[in-house]
Amino acid sequence: MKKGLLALLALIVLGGFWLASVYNSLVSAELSVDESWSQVQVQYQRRFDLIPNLVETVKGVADFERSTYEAVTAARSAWAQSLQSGTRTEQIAATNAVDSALSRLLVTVENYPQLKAQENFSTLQAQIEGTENRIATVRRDFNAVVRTYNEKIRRVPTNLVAAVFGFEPEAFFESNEGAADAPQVNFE
Amino acid sequence: MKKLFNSLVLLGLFPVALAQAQLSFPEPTGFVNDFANILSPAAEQSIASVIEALQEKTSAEVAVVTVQSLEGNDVNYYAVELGRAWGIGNAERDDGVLFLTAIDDRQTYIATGYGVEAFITDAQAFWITDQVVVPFFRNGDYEGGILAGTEKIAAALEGLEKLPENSSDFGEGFPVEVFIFFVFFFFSFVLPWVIAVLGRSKRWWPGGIVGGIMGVLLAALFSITFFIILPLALFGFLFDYLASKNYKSGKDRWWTGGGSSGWGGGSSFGGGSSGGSSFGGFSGGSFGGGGGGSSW
Repeated sequence: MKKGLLALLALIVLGGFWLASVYNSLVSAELSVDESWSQVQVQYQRRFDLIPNLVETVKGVADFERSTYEAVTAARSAWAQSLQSGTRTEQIAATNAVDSALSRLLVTVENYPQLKAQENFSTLQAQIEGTENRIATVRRDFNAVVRTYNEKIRRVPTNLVAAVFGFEPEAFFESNEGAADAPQVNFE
Repeated sequence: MKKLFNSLVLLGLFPVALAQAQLSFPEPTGFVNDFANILSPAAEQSIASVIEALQEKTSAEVAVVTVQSLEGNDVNYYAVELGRAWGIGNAERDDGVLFLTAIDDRQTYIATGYGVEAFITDAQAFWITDQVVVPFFRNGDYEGGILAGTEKIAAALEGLEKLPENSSDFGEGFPVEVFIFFVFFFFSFVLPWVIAVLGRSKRWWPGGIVGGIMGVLLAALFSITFFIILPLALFGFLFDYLASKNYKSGKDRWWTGGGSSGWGGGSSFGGGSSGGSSFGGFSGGSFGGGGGGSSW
């Protein structure tokens, strides 16, 4: 009888070790996702910080349609708001909204050669394109981390622990429909 | 509801994911990698010496690469993936720069690691390609353009401080030789001892417990799936059963003797690990997507 009890105790201890290590690995996978998300936001911050400068430049053009750049400014405020108080999904939606508005603005700029000819404008456009590339890279990295985490919490037997402790799947950063048509910088 | 949203989102992501081809890159042959064969050996040498002087002075790594085609990829995507695959730059500082030129696509791009941003901003990278490199290219002078661009990059990075020599000697992770040593050590010394201990008792379930514990440790430390616990526990049971059985008949010394001589004669592990390449590779830096480029 005593041997049986000992065996049972050993099994419980083993089970405990297993549980602890699974839980810890889920925690660190989730933290990787959070960390990657903040990197995404850093890059978007950088991009959206160029917006005021861009807006000032286009305002100087007499017949530039106000609604286009006002939409960008409004979307940007909404995005800053979502960073304070939104869920991950809401933040993704707000970020995409600013990006769409900004893309529309940049496309409109293409119709104003006098704007493009301005001294500072080519620098600004290079900076904007730079942020586009950085964002594309960091979003790919984020989605890769999310994929790893989501896979982890779905695998057996880890999914049991995940369910018990409330680990939810994370949302991917889905692509913007307009992103594929981001304006190319052409210098003749 | 959230799960439905997530699966819809996942579906939406697929077209973008598939659009980028899986990239594979050849190994680097040095700082200058002229895969498109547009540079003469003399030109390669002068470009390489600019980069070597920079690396000597600042530890920063610049790679010049020419390719025939980007194979349908964005030049930025291609450059970042290549920079990461080769690990250009020092790992702790990400001070790598990749100067990529694609002939068929007529694009040239300077990708910068995070550590280099302060020295070459995106706008400056664009400026170097647009104002310095492309004018040469428009005249058909690839060698001149790439050399001029490299000199500008080197000049911009002058301000970087040289890193101390012994920074990253041991690569990431566990050296293979040490691991093999531990395995042999285990079989020569630990195993016979374990056999003796387990064999002494008539019971055979302690072996299973030991196997199970080893399974948990292996899974936790080396990220092997937890299913390994089951076969290891079974193996432990079997092992102890056999050990107990043979101990009774007085064969334990045979085990220990056989164990040591069997595994003690392990061969030496040979000299260096890599083969005959003369270029040692880059230092493990990463890229965040920054940089600038233009086309001609």
